Amino acid sequence: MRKLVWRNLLRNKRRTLLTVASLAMGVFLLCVLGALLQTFNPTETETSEKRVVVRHAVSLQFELPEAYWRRLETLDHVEAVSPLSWFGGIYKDTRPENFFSQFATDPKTLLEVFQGIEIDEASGEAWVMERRSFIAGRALAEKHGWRIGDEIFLKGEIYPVDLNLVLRGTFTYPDDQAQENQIFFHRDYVEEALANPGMVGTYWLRLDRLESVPVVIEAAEAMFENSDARVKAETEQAFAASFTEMLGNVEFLFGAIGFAVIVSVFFITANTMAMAVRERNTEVSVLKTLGFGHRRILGAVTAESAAIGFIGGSVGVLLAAALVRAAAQALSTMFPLFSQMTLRPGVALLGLAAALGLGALSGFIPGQAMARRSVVEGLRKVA
Amino acid sequence: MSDPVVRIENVSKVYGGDRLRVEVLSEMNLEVAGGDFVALMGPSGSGKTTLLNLIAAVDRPTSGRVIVAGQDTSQLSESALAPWRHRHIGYIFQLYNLIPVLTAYENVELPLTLSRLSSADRRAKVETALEVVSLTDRKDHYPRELSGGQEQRVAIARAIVTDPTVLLADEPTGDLDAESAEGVLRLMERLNDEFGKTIIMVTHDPRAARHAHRFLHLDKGKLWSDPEEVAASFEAGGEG
Amino acid sequence: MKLPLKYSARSLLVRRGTVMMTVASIAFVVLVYLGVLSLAGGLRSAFRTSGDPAHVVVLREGALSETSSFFSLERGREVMALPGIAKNADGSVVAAGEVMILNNLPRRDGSMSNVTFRGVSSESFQLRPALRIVDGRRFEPGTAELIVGRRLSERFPTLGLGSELTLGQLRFRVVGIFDAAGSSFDSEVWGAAEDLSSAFRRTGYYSSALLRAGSEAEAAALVQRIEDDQRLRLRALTEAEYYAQQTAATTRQFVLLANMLAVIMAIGACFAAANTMYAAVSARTREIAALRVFGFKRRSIMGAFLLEAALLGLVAGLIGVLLALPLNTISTGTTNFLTFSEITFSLRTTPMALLGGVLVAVLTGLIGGLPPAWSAARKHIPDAMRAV
Repeated sequence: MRKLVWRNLLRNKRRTLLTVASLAMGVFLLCVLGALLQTFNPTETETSEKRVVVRHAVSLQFELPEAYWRRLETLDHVEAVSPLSWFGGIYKDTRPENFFSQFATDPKTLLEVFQGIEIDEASGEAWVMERRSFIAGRALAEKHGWRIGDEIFLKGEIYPVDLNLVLRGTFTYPDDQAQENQIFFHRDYVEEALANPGMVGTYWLRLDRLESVPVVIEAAEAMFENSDARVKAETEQAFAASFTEMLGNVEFLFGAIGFAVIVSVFFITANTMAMAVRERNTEVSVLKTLGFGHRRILGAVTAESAAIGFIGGSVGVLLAAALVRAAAQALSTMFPLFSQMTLRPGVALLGLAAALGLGALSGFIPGQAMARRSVVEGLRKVA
Repeated sequence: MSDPVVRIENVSKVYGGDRLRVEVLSEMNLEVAGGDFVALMGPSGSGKTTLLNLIAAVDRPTSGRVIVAGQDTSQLSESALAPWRHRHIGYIFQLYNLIPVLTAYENVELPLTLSRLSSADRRAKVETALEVVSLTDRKDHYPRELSGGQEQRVAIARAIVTDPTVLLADEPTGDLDAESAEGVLRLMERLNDEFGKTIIMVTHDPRAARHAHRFLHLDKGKLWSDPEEVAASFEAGGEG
Repeated sequence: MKLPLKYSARSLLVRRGTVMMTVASIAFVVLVYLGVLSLAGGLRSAFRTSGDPAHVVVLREGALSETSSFFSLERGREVMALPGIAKNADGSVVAAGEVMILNNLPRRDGSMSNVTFRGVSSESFQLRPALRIVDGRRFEPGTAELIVGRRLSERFPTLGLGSELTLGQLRFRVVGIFDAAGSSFDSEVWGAAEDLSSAFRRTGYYSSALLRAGSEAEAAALVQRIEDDQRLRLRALTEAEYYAQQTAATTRQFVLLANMLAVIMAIGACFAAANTMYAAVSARTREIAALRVFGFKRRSIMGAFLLEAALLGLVAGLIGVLLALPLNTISTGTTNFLTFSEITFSLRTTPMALLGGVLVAVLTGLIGGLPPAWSAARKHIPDAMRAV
């Protein structure tokens, strides 16, 4: 019977091939959607879990006084505090491919809070020493062709000041490659250009251990409860998630698209199997007179279409695996967020399972009808 | 005389709904003893194939009982029927109905995949069956690579490989040229003589019918066993 | 000699089951395409209706949006005294200095988003004639009252009529719900500029100024005057232009997404259409032979099958459009990527998008139908006549 399943698959090679191809496109799309969705949910690493972000309670449009820095450092369980202000300047023009994150920070404390940043010692020191210098993620520097000593010009958008920065080093961030799409420079330099307003966008705290997180969050918020600028403290994940949350129904949108893709693919495979089953009416009746039971016949048809599903799914997953880098490159010009898109095994597995399930189901339905059909009907001779 | 292998008791078969009722078989009775070779003749639409289908239990009578190999098949559920057919029924079709994607050998082997035989036993049975139909040298050919007569012989091998109680043949020579038809009929005769197979064959070729031991004529839902009557019916050209 | 359309159309009907399944799969491609495009369409129309080409928006030099813009009240007063601004009967100018504040608030589902609070003056209402109160009343300046866009109030539980919320230092009360005819103001909360400035400790600054010029030409002149004045260090552009820029990035992303999805799904659907058409060709082999014997040319046979495939696509496209039309009743929200603030809008399928959807479907059918039609036309007649 296994032989029969296999041979039937090859019986109409063109049809099987076309079905596999259309299924593969569907699974490919599902995998890409899955990979896209996952870029919204950054990886959780142990170190990032130990970080807490403190920002103005109203919104990120408001900044916090510089004086909060020292006060946050006095909190128990806090090992280091670094100020990070989103500069949001314009590099060259406003096209998305020229967008990257720009932070004004304090170099020394930054490297203490983000111990995952890897930079060679000489570059790190050069950066700490020179007020007008900046460091960039290696991937970003390569993308723009920056070399050590190169100068870049950032036109202030949020801050009414333009910056001329000189590259002193590149860093990597093995924990989370998405973090390499940014640059860091001295907040002192920006402050000076702005005539020292003494404000900071966010404070990033590194804690001694994971268990301290709720304690510190509560303590930080309580500390400024009665100040002019109340704060909101949250974990790094929650902070990142707040941006995703603002996007609103993205998950729903992608879910809806994914569902439509699945339905569409189902019609395609179900159609193929319906065609395959229809042309085998007589054959199935013969099998029945030979003594093959309902379940066996149903099993064979289901196995055949599940095999189509599996093959199509595998091709789709392989296609996605091969093209996800290229897709990420193409998409990153429009959505910088997606430049780090990767196909995780979970998503691939899900795509494969969907294809297998759809295949089996689309064989099962016509197979059910076929197994039930009266033998006499099928044996009626073609006139 | 021992119990008949096939016993048809007061069987009627009606097709259609309220408005268009066609009674194909009416109150029919028939007994076929073990080792018999029966030729069933009759004009188109006389219910020959229906009768065969009732014996093979792929169809159920409207009323009456069909007892094959001592079993009233109407008592069996659809799921019990499949293995029952496997044990007792060998079916040979006019259009052979081989599975096109399987070779001659694989087609013959197909029914055996339902039984728990060792692969060696299975191979032995398939080879014996192919030998009986003299097609050992064609076993790796696909149906489309065989002539009609060869295809029908493969179909016969497939029908006998499980050693069924009854062989049912529905116009086995209907689609063959005279020479191939003769070969197939001689083969069936041999199966009956040498191997004692009970055969019921539907045909409307009087030459084919001559190979059988017993003629039955089916018309107007009834069986007529008078050979004169049968012959007369053919002479009258009532056959299409 | 050409085969009549009837032949192609009836042939489709003969194979209803398999045709319907292929039609369904293509229709879903169209649905996805239109669904995503309707996001872009809705967003674009929300911002387009916001901007009046005779209005001028004034921002800080270098600022791209009102949220990152600020300048002193004094500078604001200077701008609002420039010649070329329309005047009321009493001689006052039709211009408003406004304050824009983002405040993080919980949505109905518990997730957080930045809500735009606009501190306005009485001229602000004059400058947005489409805005009308649909429930409650306008706020009274100096009493910490707010009015909220209707769609926004539906999405944020703390912004319902009569609810109170603490903003910065002050407790505010929602006294009115307004409707701004689908423009981006529907996604805003309005209060008196002084009230909001003092609550958030932003006194002494405007985020933007909105000026009404006498005409579009005068607006252009006013823009030029402000841009040219080096001393002001301000940026001016027409309101229409400003709102077009606000959505450009986001709508472009949606359009890109829609195209990407449509292309990938359509390729898959092409294969499905090819399958169906191949089945059609092989089922009608003898028929094709007969037609050839009657004297129909290869070209006519191919044309008939192509037409059949195109019809299949057309039906799918129309069904996809029908499925997509109810999308127009859905209202949703996302973030304006430029300001990271909540915008609510209604999905809108534009006529162009609908046409595009049908086109995608017809193309899918045609491309998928091409190889089978080709093979139909090239069948060897004697072989074809013998086919079962």
